[in-house]
Amino acid sequence: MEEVLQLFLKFGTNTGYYLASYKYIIMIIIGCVFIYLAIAKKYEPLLLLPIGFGILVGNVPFFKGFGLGIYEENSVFHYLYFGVRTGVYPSIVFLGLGAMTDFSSLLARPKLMLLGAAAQMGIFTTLLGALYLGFLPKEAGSIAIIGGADGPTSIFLTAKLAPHLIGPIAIAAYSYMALIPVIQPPIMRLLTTRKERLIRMSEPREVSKKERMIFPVIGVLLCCFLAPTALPLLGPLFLGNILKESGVVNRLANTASSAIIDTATIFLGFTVGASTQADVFLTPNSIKIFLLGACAFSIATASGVIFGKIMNLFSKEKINPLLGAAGVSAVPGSAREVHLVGQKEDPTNYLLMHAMACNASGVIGSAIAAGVLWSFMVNL
Amino acid sequence: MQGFEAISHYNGLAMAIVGVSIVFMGLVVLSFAISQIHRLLIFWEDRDIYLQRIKNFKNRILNKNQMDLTKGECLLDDIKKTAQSYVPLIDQLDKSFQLVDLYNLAQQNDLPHPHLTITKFRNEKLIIPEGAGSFTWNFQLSKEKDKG
Repeated sequence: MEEVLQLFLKFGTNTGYYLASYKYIIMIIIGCVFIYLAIAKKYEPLLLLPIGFGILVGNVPFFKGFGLGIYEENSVFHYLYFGVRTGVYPSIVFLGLGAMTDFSSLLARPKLMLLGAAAQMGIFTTLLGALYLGFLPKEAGSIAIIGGADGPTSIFLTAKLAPHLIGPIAIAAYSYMALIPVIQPPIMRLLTTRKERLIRMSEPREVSKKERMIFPVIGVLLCCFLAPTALPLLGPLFLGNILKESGVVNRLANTASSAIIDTATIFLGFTVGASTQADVFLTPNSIKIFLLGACAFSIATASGVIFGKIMNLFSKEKINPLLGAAGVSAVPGSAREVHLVGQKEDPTNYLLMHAMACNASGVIGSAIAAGVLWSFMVNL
Repeated sequence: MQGFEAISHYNGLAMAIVGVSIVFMGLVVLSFAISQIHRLLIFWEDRDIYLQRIKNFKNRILNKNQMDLTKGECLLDDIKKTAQSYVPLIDQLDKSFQLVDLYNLAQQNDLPHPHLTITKFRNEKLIIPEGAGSFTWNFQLSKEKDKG
């Protein structure tokens, strides 16, 4: 009888109930909030749901040495996490993204690409902020990329520069992407007048299929010759796009834009969530990262809007400066938000298509920025 | 290390400025390149027209070299050579033609001073009126001038 009791007691000390501390409880609450936001509020559910559930799974306390945790070698999660650590998942996500993206609106109005460039100011301003707060250059570069508002890019760069920060940076990046409807509209309204928000964009010209097919070739060559370190992201992005636009490999394009990106998103979200184990995640640095991430995202939004206003000073054809906010690459959340803010002023003003052009250029811009930061930091 | 000291120590400002510049440069170049794609495509699709224009231009230069004439005055002074250059045009017209058709052909082939030249042909009786606004080429006189 005593042996049975001892076995029960021994088992009891190995349970999560026994091992739990307040830190795990906090993380589990955060995971539940993510799940709530995804299901009830429908904020980026494709990302927040796997991440939220990953946070729950990653914060079940367990006895170290069983080979269960994501940071323990030979554990199942550790193998799944391989795709994050090496940057494989972000590349695959970019492949699918390319296969889903229609660059027509960008091809029809290439000058909107400048708004995508302007929005990357958030990244480089935050780089300074992170250095100021005492982060090492590689950590600062990884934190700064949150300003690109592109989850896969943030994870990719952090995996290369500061793998120990993947958890907080990924969570911050995806949180802010989910919180676009909360963060961006006040900044947009603050920086624009009603008259500016009412500006209507002219109908873009029709883009031929040949143009759409040539674009990925030109895009990958021009961008990657300039910043070869952006190859792991832009290579798959433009490959996916040419699969779609060529029209001769519909099977591959369909697979890339559905099964492949979905699989990568599930594992990416889940393992990133699971990597936020309380003892690794709940540190003062994580709070700083969240604060810097918020700054990065806000500055990126503001830079895009302000640059839109500056462009209006010099061009005959006025553009709606709200479009600048879509220069952050949170596809399609920020474009949708720009459209909604525009429609609040004038319900017949359709900005979505134009905002998607800025969004697409933001994706390219943030990938170039990631490549540039990687090349700057690699020898530091 | 933190604060401005850290920014200065790690060349933060330089990294930020160069980084922003590279991103801008990349996207500006890309936006310029894609703004030209449709123009290049239009050029490619109309390549036959452009090739024809190049051919015509080449022919014109060759013709000019053959004639060895660069000035209209020379052309008008040397009626024999001028008539030789008009014979291929006359061949393209009916036996009985209108002066305006010859004039148009001469212009299309970029022959200098077609109006003056045709007037000179009429004065020299190389172009003979047939009545009712029609004219014909005086091949006999033309051959005699060739021999002369």
